[in-house]
Amino acid sequence: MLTAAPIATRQILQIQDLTVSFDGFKALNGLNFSLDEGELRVVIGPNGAGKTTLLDVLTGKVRPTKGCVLFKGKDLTKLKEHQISVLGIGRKFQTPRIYQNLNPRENLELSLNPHKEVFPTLFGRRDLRDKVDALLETIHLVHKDRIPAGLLSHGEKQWLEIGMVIAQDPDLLLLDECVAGMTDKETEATGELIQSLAKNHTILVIEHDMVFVRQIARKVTVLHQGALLCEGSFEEVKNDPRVIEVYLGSHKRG
Amino acid sequence: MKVLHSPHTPDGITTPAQGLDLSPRNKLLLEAGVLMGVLLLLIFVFPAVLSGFRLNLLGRFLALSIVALGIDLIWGYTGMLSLGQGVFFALGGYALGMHLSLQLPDGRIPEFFSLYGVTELPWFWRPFYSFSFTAIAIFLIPALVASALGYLVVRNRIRGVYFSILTQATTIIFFNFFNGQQRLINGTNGLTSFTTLFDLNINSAEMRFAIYVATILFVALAYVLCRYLTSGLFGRILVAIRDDEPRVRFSGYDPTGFKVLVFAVAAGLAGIAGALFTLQTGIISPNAMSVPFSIEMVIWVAVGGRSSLIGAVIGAVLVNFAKSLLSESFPEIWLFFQGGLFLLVVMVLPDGLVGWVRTQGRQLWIIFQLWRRRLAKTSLA
Repeated sequence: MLTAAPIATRQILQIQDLTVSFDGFKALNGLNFSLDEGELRVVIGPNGAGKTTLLDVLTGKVRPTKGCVLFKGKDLTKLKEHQISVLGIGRKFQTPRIYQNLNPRENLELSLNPHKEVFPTLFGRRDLRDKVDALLETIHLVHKDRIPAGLLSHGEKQWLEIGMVIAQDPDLLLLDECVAGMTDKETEATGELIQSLAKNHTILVIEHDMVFVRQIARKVTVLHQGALLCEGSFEEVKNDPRVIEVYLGSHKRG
Repeated sequence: MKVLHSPHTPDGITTPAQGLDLSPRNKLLLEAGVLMGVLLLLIFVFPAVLSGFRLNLLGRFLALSIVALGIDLIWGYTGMLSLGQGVFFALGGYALGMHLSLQLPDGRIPEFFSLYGVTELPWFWRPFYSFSFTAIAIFLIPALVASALGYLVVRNRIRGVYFSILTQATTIIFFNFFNGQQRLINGTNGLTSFTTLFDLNINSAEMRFAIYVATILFVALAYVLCRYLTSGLFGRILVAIRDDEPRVRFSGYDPTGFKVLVFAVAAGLAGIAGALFTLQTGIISPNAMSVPFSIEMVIWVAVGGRSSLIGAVIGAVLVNFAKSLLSESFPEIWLFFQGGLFLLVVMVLPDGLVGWVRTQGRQLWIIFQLWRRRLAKTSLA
């Protein structure tokens, strides 16, 4: 079990010796990682570093081969996806995954619903209108709230999915390359949104876009070959010779 | 990007292109009004204009439309393509068939038993003396069988084409089992020669009309039930499960319960349909569990238009009328026609008749409006 006790702030997430192996290939290899409550952390790393696998483990999509993942003191490796979601982890996927045939309003209602079992959903009475309206405002979709979400532009879909994750009111938000395919202006607005969310959520961002990383980052973690390479402020990480080596190395190969 | 599954958006949504811009409440009132109108038409007008023979056919096909509603619920809305609804249909049919077979003077057992030297009524027949038990069993037995089957399959995350194959395999198992049980339920011959229900002759004109009206009321009930399930948040989740089931888990829902519930409801509806159909045809046999019949049911829904409940009813009635008309005049041609229908739906009408009316019909309407305006302009000039 974990021995290192948190000192100043409470740790919301603790990962020890996490290994995920797919037919012998180790996507994550003995990873140690932790997040403080209220932290905004950016995880970077070259392709194949294990960033998305990390999120897969955190959301129950992938079962680890070895290791321990504690979220608010509970072991996530034994829970199913929906249980983890209800426990308070929300995930924004790399490519937007919204319900295309439902409109933004319905997409948000579905995520906002406080009681997600079958019969409360069928018979429960709930008034989510005000919350939906407020969220639509936040994600700038007030005027497109009644068209099928499949017809939104790529950036709008990304925003809608961020809105859906916020609607779940998670304690920990996982954002997987949420500005991919966005215009510069949209990216900047997303950065501001994340900054404001960081005031009362713990956020883990996976990102490739360095301009964006610089905009939002407080503390950066670099993954390489499934393990932790280094951690620190954006400037520290940027100037770390190992990080430069890893990125340039992967560029040479690519 | 994947093209939208269907142009259908669940109720309460009006896009600018639509002509009628009603509030959700008014839309619901309009729908209720139309439903009442259709009911009155079916109960009071059709019996006056159709011959007894055609009216009886209409009654049967309306019974079949109840299965179609269930299929629409699980396939059109939830994305579970079941090729085994015939099983549940037959279970409902058998439940009522057993009750009807037991309308005998005290101490006697249905005649077919003597063929196989059975002298005592098998134990599981006894509860079917009671009409209340039978009425509940018609819905509940198929629903329970579906819950058990559905839970085992869905819990293990078996979906898509694998789900379809499993349901079809189930159909074959049930078919073979029922075919082989001469001593219990008259095997391949099924149950037939029913005479009375509530001590009334079921072949009298009055009773036939009463059964016809009951069928219509059950269609209406089934429609309202499916409408209730597919609207509101519950219905949105069904659509979400259809479009991206893994994503639904990350939204915090366990899809298993939702899928098992609608599968059970669809099975229960199939049971009711089977009972009403048996009452009107006077026979229930393992043929109702044959693979082709279950596939036909899916074709009705595909032709009418899945993800629109009204499409399921229209599809069931139209395809069956086409079948009966065509097989009356050209008995050989029906299967070709059915194959053609299926091709037509796959190639030209992926969303069925109702889906076509929704998309193309609207476009044609716009074109017609433009043409009329142009005509008006030229006549002015």
